[in-house]
Amino acid sequence: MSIFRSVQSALISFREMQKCLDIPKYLLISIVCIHFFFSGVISASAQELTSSFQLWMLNNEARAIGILTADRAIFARMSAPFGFLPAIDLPMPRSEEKIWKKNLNLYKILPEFNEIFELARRFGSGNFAKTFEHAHPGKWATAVIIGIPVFHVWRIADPIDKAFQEAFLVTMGISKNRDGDLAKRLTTSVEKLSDTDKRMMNAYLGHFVALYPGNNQTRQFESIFQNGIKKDLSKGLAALIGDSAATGTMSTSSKTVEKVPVANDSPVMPGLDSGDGSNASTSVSDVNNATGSASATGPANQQSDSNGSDPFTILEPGK
Amino acid sequence: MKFIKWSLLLIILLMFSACEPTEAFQIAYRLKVGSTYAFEVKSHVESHASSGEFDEKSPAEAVDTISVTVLAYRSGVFVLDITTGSRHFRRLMREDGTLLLSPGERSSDLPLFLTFPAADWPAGKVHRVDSSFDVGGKPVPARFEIVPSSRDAAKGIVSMKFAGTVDLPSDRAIQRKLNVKGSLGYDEKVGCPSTGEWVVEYSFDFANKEIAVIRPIWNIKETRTVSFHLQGVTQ
Repeated sequence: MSIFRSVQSALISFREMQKCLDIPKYLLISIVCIHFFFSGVISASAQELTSSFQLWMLNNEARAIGILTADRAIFARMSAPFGFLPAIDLPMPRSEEKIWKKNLNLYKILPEFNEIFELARRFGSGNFAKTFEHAHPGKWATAVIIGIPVFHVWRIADPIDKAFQEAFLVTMGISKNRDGDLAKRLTTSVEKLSDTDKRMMNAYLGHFVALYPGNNQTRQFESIFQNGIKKDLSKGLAALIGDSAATGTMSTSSKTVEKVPVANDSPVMPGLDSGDGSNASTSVSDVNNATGSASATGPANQQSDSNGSDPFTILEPGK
Repeated sequence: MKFIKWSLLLIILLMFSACEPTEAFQIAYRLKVGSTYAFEVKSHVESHASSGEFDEKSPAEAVDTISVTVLAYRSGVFVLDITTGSRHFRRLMREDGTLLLSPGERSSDLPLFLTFPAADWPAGKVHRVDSSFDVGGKPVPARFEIVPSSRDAAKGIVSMKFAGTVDLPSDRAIQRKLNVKGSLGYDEKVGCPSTGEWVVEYSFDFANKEIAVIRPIWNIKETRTVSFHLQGVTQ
C-alpha cells in the first residue's frame, strides 16, 4: 500500500520535479528506481518476527469459527426432528471459545517479542555501541565548552554530554529502564503465560515449523520462545545504555514445558540448541546472575557463551 | 401317485406360507381436536474442545414441558398450538408429520422433519426422508431413516429406530461429521409418539495440510441427547 502511494505521488510530482530541478530525464528515472528498490528492501526486512505465525493462527481461527457457526445451525436443526415437538431452549456451550481465549493470551505477548527481537537485531551485536563509544559525539559537542576558561563553564560539559546521550537513546526508541536487560524483559513477558499457554504456543509453533520449514522468521521466533535470547545480545544493548547489570542467558521455557517434536528437529538457528539441556551447567550461573526467577526455569539454559555464533548477524556481516 | 399328491400338497402349503402377510403398521398422527398433549423434554449437551494437551468440556442441561394443543383438523392437516418455555407458536402439520406451515418461524430455521410413510408400513422396512441444507450457498444433502422394529400389542406401542446424517463437506485437512441415532415409541392409543430418545453427535477435526504434512490443530465435539415422554393428555 505504501509502495502504491509512493508510486502515485512520484508520478504526480515527476514532471514538476523535472521542471523545477532541470535534471535530465534518465537521471531522474534512475533516482526513482533506486528509491523504489531500497524502499522495497526496507519494507521486506521490516516484516515482524511473528507476523507469519500470527496471520496463520488468525486465518485458522477465522476458518474454524466460520465452519463451526454454519455447522451449529445444522446441528440445531437436526436436533428436533419431529414437527409436533420443537427444540427446547438450551444454553449452547461453546468449549472452543476457551481455545480462542488461550490464543488471545498468546497474541498479547507477540508485540513484545517483536520489539525485543527488533532491538536485539539492531543493537544486540554491540557494534553500534562500540561505534558510538568511539565516535564520542557528545564529547565533541561539548569540547568547545571545556575550552572556555571563565566561570568554570567546563563543569557543565559532563552533564550536557550525559543529557545528550540520554536524548540520543530516547531518539533511538530505547528506554533505559525497560531495555537495559532484554533477557529480563523477555522473561517478564513470557511469565505472563501459564504452563498450558506455553504448551499450546510450543505446539502451535511446532505445527507451523513442520508445515512451513522454510519460514526462517518463525523458526527464529520458536527458538527465542523456547530457548530465550543470547547473553551477548543483551550485553550489546546494555553496553549502549551503559547498564552493567544486564547479563545472562535466560530461558522462557518452564520445566513443565516440553519441546514439541517437529519434522526437522535439528537446531533451528546457529548457536541455539533445540532444548535438551546438554549445556545447562555452563549457563545456570549466568542465569542466577541475571534473573533469580529464570534460574529455576529451563531445560533450555543450554547456550554456552563460547560455542554459539550470533544468530542476529545483520550488524556483523563479517562474523 | 401318492408321492405326487404329497408333493403337490407341500407346494401348496409353501405357497400359502410365502403369501402370508407380514406384520404391517399404520403409523400416523391421530391427534384429538381440542386435546392438549403435555410432553416433558430433557436435553443434555456436552461440548468438548481439545488442542494438543489442552482439553475442555462444557456441559449444559435443560428440562422443559411442551404443551401441544390441537386446535383444528381439516383435510388431513392438524393446526397445533405449541407452548415451550417463553415461546409460543403454531404449526400446521400433516398426518404423516410433514410440516405444512409455521407462521412464527423462519423456514430457514426449520429442522429436517422425520415423517412416517403414508401407506401400510411393514416391520423392518426402512422409510427414508431426503432433504438438503444450504451451507454457504451450496446444498448439503441430509437424510433420515426410520424403521419399525417391534410392536407391543398389550400396550399398543410400536417401537421404531431412526438414524440421520448430514453429508458435511470434508477433506483431508478438515473433517466434519454429523449423525443422529435414536428410538421412538409410537402409542397407538394416543395417536402420537409417547416416548423417544435420540443422540446428535457432531465432530469437527481441524488440521493444516501442506504438501504431505498434516498437522491436527483443533478438535471439537458436541453431543446432544434429547429424550421426551408424554406426561398426559387433557381435554
